[in-house]
Amino acid sequence: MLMMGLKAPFVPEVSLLKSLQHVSVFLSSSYAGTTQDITITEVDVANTRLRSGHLSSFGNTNASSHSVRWELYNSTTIRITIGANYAAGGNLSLVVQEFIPGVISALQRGTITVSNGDLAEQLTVTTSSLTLSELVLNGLISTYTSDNNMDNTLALLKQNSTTEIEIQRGASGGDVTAGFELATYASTYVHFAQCLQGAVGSGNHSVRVSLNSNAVFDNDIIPSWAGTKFNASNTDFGQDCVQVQSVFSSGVIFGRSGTPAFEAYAACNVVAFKAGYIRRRTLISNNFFYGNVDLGATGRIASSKRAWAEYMGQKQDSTGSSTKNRAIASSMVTVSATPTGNEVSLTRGATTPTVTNQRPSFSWVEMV
Amino acid sequence: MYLEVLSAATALTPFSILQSNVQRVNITIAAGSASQEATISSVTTANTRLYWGGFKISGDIATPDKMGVRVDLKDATTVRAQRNTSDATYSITVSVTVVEFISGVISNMSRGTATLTAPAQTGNIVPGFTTNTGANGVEMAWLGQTTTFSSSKDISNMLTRLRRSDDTTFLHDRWGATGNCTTSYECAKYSSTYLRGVDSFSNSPGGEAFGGESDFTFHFEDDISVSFSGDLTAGESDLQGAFKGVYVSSYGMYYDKGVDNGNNPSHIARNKLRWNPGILKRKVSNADKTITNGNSSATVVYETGKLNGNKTAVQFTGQALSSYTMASADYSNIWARVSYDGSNTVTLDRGGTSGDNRPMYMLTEFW
Repeated sequence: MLMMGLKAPFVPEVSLLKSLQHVSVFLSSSYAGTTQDITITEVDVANTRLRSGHLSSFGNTNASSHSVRWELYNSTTIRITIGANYAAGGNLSLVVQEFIPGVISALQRGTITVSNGDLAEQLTVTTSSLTLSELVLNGLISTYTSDNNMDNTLALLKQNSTTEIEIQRGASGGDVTAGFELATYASTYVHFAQCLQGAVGSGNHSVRVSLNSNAVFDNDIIPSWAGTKFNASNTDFGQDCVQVQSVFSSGVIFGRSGTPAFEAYAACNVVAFKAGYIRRRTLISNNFFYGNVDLGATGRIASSKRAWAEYMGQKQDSTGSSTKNRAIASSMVTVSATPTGNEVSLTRGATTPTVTNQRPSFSWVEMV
Repeated sequence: MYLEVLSAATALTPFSILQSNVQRVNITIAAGSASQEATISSVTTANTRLYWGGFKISGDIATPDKMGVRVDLKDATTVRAQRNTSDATYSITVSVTVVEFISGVISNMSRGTATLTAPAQTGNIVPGFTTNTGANGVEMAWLGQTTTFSSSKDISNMLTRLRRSDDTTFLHDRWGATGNCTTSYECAKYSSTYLRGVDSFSNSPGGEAFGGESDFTFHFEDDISVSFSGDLTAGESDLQGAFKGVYVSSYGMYYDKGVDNGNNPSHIARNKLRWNPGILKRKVSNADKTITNGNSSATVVYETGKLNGNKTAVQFTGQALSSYTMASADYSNIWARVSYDGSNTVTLDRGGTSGDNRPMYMLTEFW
């Protein structure tokens, strides 16, 4: 019966990937104030992007106790910078994605800092493109230690122009330094890239943000995470958490569990590849924490060396009106693909205090 | 059993579940006529689905009995479109895509019409097989409705919806109670070899402009599709709040009215089909293209040379509108249609040019 519809073997188009490496590392609380180098198989730094599975944190001492950022330091090294107030310990998951030459036309790496007393800061960057550039957050380092209010320590990135990027946060305590990668893609391979921001408004669960073009296929749009912030007036960290809920040609939909009185924000990028380069993708945002998520794809992943999972925010129910700090320890989530590529692992560092209906969001992509 | 075979070299060997090339059919019921037939290449009716593409009217038709339209697969070579009463001045153009599957994809097919006779607002459709929504999913597709109602422009008497009730029954309903309504339907039960299941989605969004429902079933972005199974309206005076569309992502299904209109409900029904990996090559669920005020059409142009027109079908999934008063609306601005040219262009069009109209659609390319 099946043979009736048998077609000639599908010949994949050229793969845009030269290599893909999965990196997971345990960051001990004793690493505070240090840098940790991880050796990777050599890559061409001009063609390589880091993708993040995020940090799962083991403790809850202060809002800066989870401060970590990462960078591709050289062709064989990922350098992880750990904040001076880091105290929690946790696991970090990263993916090293090396494209073939020509896919990325320009790539700038660096840091941007918003100082104590400020809510935003701008940085002049090497000329990029507003329609072909992806601005990715590579971790945050905060100096804030007064309390556990994460509106001071969480931040997002946005691209203001071809020559300026910006970091924003909800409250102004301490310095926050973000690592970033600003990659510009060649139009040969990409329809468009877009840095966008979702503001989930007062009393709302979700918001939809349109793409630069809707004339793309749903499977060809890959997201990446650019951070989150919430209004300092909100008092419930649980309901302030925002996730990327859907990514497709109808836009990017940002969502949260509650409907606090004030806006909460998340930022992400989408890169809309031309047809034929993405074999499969999904974005799973409705899985209640935690453990391994079976993609229902046994035997379907052609190569785990071309598939990865990436953190895309999270949402969770209320953690209490006066406890926007309490959920920290159990709300930092790491996402990583299992070696077979058939499952995605969601882990968190602690199970107390209890966080209800925690739903990390992740993107899973297999490239040709 | 998987339809896509992995070899050591990781080459993929997809199968097509289409028996024949899809056939795109546009039927115009001329002014002065109540029906029109189109001849198609012969298909096996038990294996064939019609995909609803919406319709447009050429001008300001005064009553629902002349603007309501339904289609059916009359026989192996004929698609038929009908309205209840001819209009002396204006035509109706309806679009469908004929999708013939290989034997075994559809294990049972029940097609026909169901009628609500005044003052009935609900009725039952019993397709004759169990409608469990597990591995063997059942899709109840709405293919238009006609009505005898001719007293005013109150379309709450005309619009109908189909939704699953239990393992043997679908509900057929409308908001109004005047005139008789006849709905055309195709109820298809699919083999689990090809389809993981069908979610029969029905909702009555309140005033909110936008909302969603996750389904807690994991799938890849390209393995889901959605088909239309009707909307009904509570008869609120502003059609802006009465119309809505849906779009799907791997998260689930979203409904979109485009406007927060207070607490007026706006009832909706759709089917979400969860295909096994390797059945669909591509999907698009588009809710972001507007026919703007002053225009009768809009196009979405996809990457050249990527879509196989012989394997690609488009379906209307609803719409969001500018504000129109139901009692006095020129419905040529409202009824909209989606069509695909077989190459790389999807066209959204209507008969009129007034106000913004955002039809939503599902584009699926089979292997």
